[in-house]
Amino acid sequence: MDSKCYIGIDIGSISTKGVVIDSNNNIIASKYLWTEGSPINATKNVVSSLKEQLDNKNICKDVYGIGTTGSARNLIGTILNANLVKNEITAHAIGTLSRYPDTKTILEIGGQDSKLIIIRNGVVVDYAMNTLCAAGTGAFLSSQAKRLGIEIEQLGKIALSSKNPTKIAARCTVFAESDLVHKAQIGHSKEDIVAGICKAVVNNYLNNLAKGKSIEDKVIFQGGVSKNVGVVEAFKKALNKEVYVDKDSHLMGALGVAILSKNINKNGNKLNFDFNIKDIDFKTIGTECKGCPNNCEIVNIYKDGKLIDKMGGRCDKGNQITKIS
Amino acid sequence: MKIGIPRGLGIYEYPILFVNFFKYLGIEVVMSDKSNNKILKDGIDNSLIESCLASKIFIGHVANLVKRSKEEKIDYIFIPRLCTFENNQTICVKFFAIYDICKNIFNAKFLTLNLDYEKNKTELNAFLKLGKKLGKSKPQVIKAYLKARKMQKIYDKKKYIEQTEKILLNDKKLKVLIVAHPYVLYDEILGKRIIKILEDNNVELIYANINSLTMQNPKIFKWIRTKDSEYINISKSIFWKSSRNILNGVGTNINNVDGIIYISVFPCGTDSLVNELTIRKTKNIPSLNLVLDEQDADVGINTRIESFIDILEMNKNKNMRISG
Repeated sequence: MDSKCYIGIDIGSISTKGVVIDSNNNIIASKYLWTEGSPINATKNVVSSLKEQLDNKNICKDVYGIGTTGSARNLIGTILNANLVKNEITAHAIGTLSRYPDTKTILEIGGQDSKLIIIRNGVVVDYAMNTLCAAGTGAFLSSQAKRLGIEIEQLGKIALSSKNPTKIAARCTVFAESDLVHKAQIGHSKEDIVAGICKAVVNNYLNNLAKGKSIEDKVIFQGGVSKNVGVVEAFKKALNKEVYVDKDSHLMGALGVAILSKNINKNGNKLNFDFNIKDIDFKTIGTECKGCPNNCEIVNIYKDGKLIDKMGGRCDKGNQITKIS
Repeated sequence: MKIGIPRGLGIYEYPILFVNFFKYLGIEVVMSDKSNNKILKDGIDNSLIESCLASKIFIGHVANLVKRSKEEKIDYIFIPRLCTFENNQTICVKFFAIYDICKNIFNAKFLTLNLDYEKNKTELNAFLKLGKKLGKSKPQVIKAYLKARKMQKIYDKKKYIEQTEKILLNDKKLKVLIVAHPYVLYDEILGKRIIKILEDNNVELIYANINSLTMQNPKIFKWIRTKDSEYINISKSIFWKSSRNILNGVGTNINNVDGIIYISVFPCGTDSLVNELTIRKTKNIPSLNLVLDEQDADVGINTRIESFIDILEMNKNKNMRISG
């Protein structure tokens, strides 16, 4: 049996996702956990969990590709010595297309980003991404869930039990929040408010990203928020279309980047990758470059006390590693 | 005499004209430092929170000159006041106000050029008034103005020809049209930062603000009819001068490029209307709308640009379909 495997890690603002695939793009191990503000620790945990799963299944682990994506892709790419670092849009499109080749529209709502990817004939032709504010993303949902004293996982189910969703201003998270408090105080029930929040997320998404873009079948909805059945229902109603959610919808970015790392490794060299990354000590120290008045923030990455990379500078002045001989 | 010129806003409309006008009158000119984070910080500290990023940076540049003025003996700081132009064109109100705003914020001597066609009829009249304040005679001012105008035209024409050659060049590089006001495009921490990312990605850049409309001289007589330009394909009634200029560039180049990137600063009133309008009118070409604000993390911008270039490349090599 072919023992080659490929790793894809998607480090988002809220959650970190990891998959291991075989040469036929089948997911043989996967992990999903909260980033909790520490992408390095989250990645360590994801990798060791992947290793455990592979050990349990007794699969040989020869890594031929490592890809990273998500907002911390550069940092984690350096730490894992990845052969591919790719943006989320391409990664998500590739991941989804591998499962649904006839996709025409991908709706994606993550922790802080929301994206709309338009695909025609298997090629991405256009995309839109939220600009300055994170209104109507996963972060909004989780903060509102906390406010209402509901577990985020329960939010979708509660929303489905409502018959008459409350109208909530969707334009801005701050306004939405005060609107929500107000609606609760004049006596709207919790289910109706929760359903209203889900509807607000969808309206915000369609008003901000989808304006002027044609959403055609087949529509795939993914990202962390796609696990919320309330939002899925609201999308179906608003678009008047079937909206598909894959069982691995939260893993599509990681899957896509794993596939890309497979495609890029054409000579088929085995990568030097250690699954026992948990035992390695990674440290990052932020400094300010004093080279010019821009004062770029430089992040220094140390592996077991040794400086391996610097990044964050706008020019090479701050990013150069002074070799200590 | 020594005059300081802040690098920002209206200066970028006619940089050569302004600088050379003073030079030909025998006045020394110093520019403020190139934009950096220190200038941005000074600008934010001295501005209203709701001003746009470009005007905050401008005020930072003025602060830079005010700070240097004692040591370098700068007599005046020059801030042009752009208001109305020929054919009922106007410009963002920030340009009307910025001279008075700076006069009220800083304790320094300022000099202005009141480019207001409703009052002064022509650009020359405005320069004559400025010359009078500087104590120069009419013939001196007219000569300096005409010479500086000519230099500006030569400069614009050179850039225009270079760009036309670039468009005609049939190489395999991706061609992307950059749509941005000059004061955004040429700023070190706004447009130039994005241009650098794009150039690192090996993209050929075409600039919308360089086109046949922008190099036209202002009319000396009111009754001369200006010929219609390409901007009318997108909007006939656009009356902001700077927006009309870049729309003309979009209209001219739309068939020569693979994609369009709009760069604007937050919160820009004119761009939020004009860019949206243009995106809707040019639906069959991929476009990316970048709005810059005070956050200086590049991650978000990088993600958007990288994805956009990926899309353009996939579109260009459609047979090279990537799938699982």
